[in-house]
Amino acid sequence: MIRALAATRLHWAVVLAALSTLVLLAAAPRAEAGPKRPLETGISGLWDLEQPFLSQAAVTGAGSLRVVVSWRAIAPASPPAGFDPSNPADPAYSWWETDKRMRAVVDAGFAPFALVTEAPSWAERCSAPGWDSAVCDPDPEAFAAFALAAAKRYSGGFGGLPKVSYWEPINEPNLSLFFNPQFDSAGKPVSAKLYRDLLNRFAASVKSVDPGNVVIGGGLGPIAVRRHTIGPLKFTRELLCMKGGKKPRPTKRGCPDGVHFDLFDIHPYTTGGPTHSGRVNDVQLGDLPDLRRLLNAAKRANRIRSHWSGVPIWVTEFSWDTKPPDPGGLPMKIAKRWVAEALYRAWRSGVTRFFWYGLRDEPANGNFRETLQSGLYFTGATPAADRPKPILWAFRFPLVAYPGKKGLHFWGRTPHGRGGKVRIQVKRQGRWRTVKRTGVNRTGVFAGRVKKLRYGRNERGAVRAVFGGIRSVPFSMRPVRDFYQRPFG
Amino acid sequence: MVAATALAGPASAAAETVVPPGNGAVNQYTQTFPTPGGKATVEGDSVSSPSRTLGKRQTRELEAEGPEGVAAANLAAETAPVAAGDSGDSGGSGDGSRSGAGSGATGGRADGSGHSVGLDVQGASGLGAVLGGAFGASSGGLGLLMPLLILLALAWCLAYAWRQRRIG
Repeated sequence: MIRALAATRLHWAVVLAALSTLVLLAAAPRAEAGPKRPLETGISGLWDLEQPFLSQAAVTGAGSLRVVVSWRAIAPASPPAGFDPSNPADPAYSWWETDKRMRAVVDAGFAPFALVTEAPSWAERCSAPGWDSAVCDPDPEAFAAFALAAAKRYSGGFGGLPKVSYWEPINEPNLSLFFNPQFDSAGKPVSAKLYRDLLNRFAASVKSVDPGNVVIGGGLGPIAVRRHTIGPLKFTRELLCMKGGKKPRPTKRGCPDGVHFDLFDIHPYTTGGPTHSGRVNDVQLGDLPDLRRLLNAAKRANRIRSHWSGVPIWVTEFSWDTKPPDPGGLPMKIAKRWVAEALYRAWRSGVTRFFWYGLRDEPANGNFRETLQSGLYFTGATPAADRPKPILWAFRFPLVAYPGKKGLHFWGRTPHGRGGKVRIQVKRQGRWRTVKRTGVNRTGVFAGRVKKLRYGRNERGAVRAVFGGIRSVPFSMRPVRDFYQRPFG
Repeated sequence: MVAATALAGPASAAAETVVPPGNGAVNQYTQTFPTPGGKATVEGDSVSSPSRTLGKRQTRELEAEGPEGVAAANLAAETAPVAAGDSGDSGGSGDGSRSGAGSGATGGRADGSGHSVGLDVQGASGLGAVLGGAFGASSGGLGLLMPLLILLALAWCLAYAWRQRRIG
């Protein structure tokens, strides 16, 4: 009798447990968890790492700044007798300028990421025409020794210098502008293989100082130009010993020891709008999902040896020149929209950090063809006279909204990626009305849908978000078609 | 792009140059020949060769005219449409040129007017989006499948209780 009673109770307990699980499952999605993947922002083309420019950078909501660690500038012009290239205190090295920059960046509250590039001529194994910053087949052993010295110097335990956790070797190794050779004498691409060796040795050096250091691979330019550059998708396939286009898969041979990096960097400068795709091996904004697919496949095939189970993507350079001031730039009204959309499209493809290239327009003196007007600030006669561009506010607090059959979809990121509450507002009869309140988690990214709201389906009106009294740039419901727009005007 | 510094030690520490676009450098970043829709470039390592576009004979004739003829042949090749599947990938990728304007968004629909419907908040795959919709993960609600599952579970519980009572 007691045993039968116990069995019945057990059965009821099972039933109750099953019901509770279902109820919990049903209730969980209602919590305002928000997207878990963050989107942090940074500035990569800031050369004057001093005030007031650091304060200007802070206004943009950027949390990271790129600092170039120039091997050529730091290393001696020719190695003297007794030179120890892996010793950060070797007297032949000249670090003071880089030290000053690292200190300034960290003191201003930014996370630095080090781009180790350029090479002293004694470490190069060929010579090729190009910019001063182009490297020509640098000796991987010498490069690894310099990387070791740099990682030791910025390990947080050397002479009171700050810690640098993010390390990237070589800028845009798929462009002849920065890395040579790209092809051998028979026209066969060779740069990816050369870069793989450099990257693996670089990673070994940086990780030997601190296994927690993060190595950034890639940093690739966006397009293929015959005889000059290799399309970033093709370069990445060769780097990772992969093949296939839409269905990437590992090659039978190659990369026996894998490729060692933790996250992948791409510079998807786009000749058009945020959905614009390039050619088959290009990576412009519309091609980011293809890069994502390739990296995922390479990770599954164990080609990529990294910290994490996935491979986050960083965009460390991106911009459009704007009009004004560049007559060939992207009209500011569209630029405001496209900047927000660029951040959204990038985030959606797995980008976790997005760097705008320029902080300020370059002084043009009427020469817009050879200067960049892609800053977040108009450059004034003095730095104090600089004025923020409207795109700055779109970069700082992006919001996109698209009407759909089931309601109004929205996505955004709060300034500085802070958590809290956001109000979504639509403009009706000249007044802003709140249609949804949503929570924002610590990533600062928020997304969702205002159910059954048909607003914007007639392509009229605008949507904005309000966070702690700060308003996003209104996002017009009138769509903008993709069109040919040169990124540098 | 422009991580070009000319730092050369203390003496010229402040001297930095940015690679100026417009004199060749910029061409490594910009598509030069847009199609009317602003889509495809004609540059790249996947473009057709002059002889493939114009035929060997015509290419030879053009090339015989000197540098200008060679340039004309190259331009013809570079501006020729690329057939689907013409990837130019030495690894034999077999993927064709990409689709038209407004594409490039996974998980959602882009209608070519910059109008993307259905934000994929988790950046999930198509299957993920379907499951998310079914279970209500993206909408914050219950979705379709969840109430169905609850009803099924309830029915099973009632049937189970009834059977237990009969046995008892």
